[in-house]
Amino acid sequence: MSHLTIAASARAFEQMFALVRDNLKLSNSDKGSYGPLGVAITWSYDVKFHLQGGTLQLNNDGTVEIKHLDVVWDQLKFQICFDLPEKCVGGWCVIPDPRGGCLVSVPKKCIGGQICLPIDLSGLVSEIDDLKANLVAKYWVDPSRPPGISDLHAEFLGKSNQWQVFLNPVTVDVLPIDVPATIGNLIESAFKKAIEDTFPLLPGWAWPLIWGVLGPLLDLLKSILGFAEDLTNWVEDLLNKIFNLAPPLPTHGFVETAVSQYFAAQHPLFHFEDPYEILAGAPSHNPIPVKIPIRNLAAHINAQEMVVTADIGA
Amino acid sequence: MNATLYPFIFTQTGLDSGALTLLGAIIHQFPEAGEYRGVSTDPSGGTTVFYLTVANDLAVAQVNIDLAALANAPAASAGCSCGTAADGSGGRHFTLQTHGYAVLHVSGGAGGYAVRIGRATNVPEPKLFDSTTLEHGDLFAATLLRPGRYRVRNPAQSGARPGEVNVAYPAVGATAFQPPAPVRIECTASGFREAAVQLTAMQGCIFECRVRSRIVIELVSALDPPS
Repeated sequence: MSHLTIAASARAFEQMFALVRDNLKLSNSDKGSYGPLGVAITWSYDVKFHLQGGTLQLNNDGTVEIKHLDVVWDQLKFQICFDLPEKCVGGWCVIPDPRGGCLVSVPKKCIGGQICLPIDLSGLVSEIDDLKANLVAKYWVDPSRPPGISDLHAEFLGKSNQWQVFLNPVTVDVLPIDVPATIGNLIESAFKKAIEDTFPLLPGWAWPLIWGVLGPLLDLLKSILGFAEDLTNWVEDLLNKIFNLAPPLPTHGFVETAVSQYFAAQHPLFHFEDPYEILAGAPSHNPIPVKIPIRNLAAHINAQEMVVTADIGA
Repeated sequence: MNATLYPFIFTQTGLDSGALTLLGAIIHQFPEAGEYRGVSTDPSGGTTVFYLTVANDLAVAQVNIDLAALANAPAASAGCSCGTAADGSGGRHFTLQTHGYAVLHVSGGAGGYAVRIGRATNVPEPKLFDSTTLEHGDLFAATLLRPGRYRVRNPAQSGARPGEVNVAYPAVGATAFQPPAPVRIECTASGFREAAVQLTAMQGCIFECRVRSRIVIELVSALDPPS
């Protein structure tokens, strides 16, 4: 039987979880490429998110389950870059070949350029549908603690050993990001602006010509990016593919990985120093605090509460 | 983006067959086999020499001679088929079949080139071709981008009446604009036939020289973009 048993109600546990959840602020950036039909398309993103909400339930199997945890994308900046297909002047036939075809043609003069479409979806909210975790107790030794010093000395240096209890996710089910339907219009506008920015010195009279030659921009974009479906769906698919959230089997997506690592290793639900102080030092009569060593700490969950047990020993 | 092409392609609204720029090209036929020597002159007076071998046993109906590339490339590597001329003189060397066509054009930069071509011999020979005075059979291919009204002159014929070319904006449609087939205009002693031509921007315009000609196309009034 353990020497020490502490319990925290479901409500207290919920508050502990809320503190940890609210401290989570993650960011990530990455880039990559893909190339349908031999067209090189590069993407990059720069994102920051935090978690919000969620309904928590303690289970008798030793797990806690958090449902409908919002992923609030404080920053979701995304960029796609590709080469605008060259548009050419000339190339027409000067002397037709009497046998068919063309004997002599005018050389083409072509212009093109790389286009980058910045897509800002900051503020978007997606969801972790289900996060199931158990509790894991870890003993932590400050790596900067000088070797061989006493626990009292370590306390004076602020480098005490610690018991830490982490929420250890077993499953993190992240739902695919839902992109609003208005994104199609935003991208079309971004595409037009990107073309204008590519040719900053173009005189005003030339733009109607350029737009005429390029044709409907949405059609052009679809042909460059190699898709025929709805633009909103395409962006959604691409984002979820890049973030590894695409169904049917999202595995090790960056949201899942980042959230798991945060809960399981970066921010404990609670922690306390070892040895644990049971009587503070008083300068007048007893300057040295009274502390007891904690051993065999374990944390469990049942449907009503969290229970922490430990032994007291040398 | 083609940096040498842009923005000249949009700023040079006029064309002159005697001072070739991006949107003009001269097509000259070589009916006789032989070794030819060409000299390209840029507006600053700098010259570049190139060679052309015309032979019966070649299967090259069209050779594109890029005057900008000739002027800017090192002597040892310019031209589309480098090597030495048949007389061993070296430098920029092109080949063409007998009765084939040389297309003189400018791929980038401000342009303004003139070209003279004659037989490559050890003794002075009369020039067979001079781009400042095109002869019967030569063609000048022009592309007009800027919508507006243009005047076309032939200063090589004092009695030739100027012609007019009107260039319209392309209509915005459900598909990308494709320019119509090029139009052909004859250059005669009395002027141009047709004397007035309607084009859409980017549509080709081929001037067929029936007499000695120099084609000068000048923008008279630009058309405002459609609102």
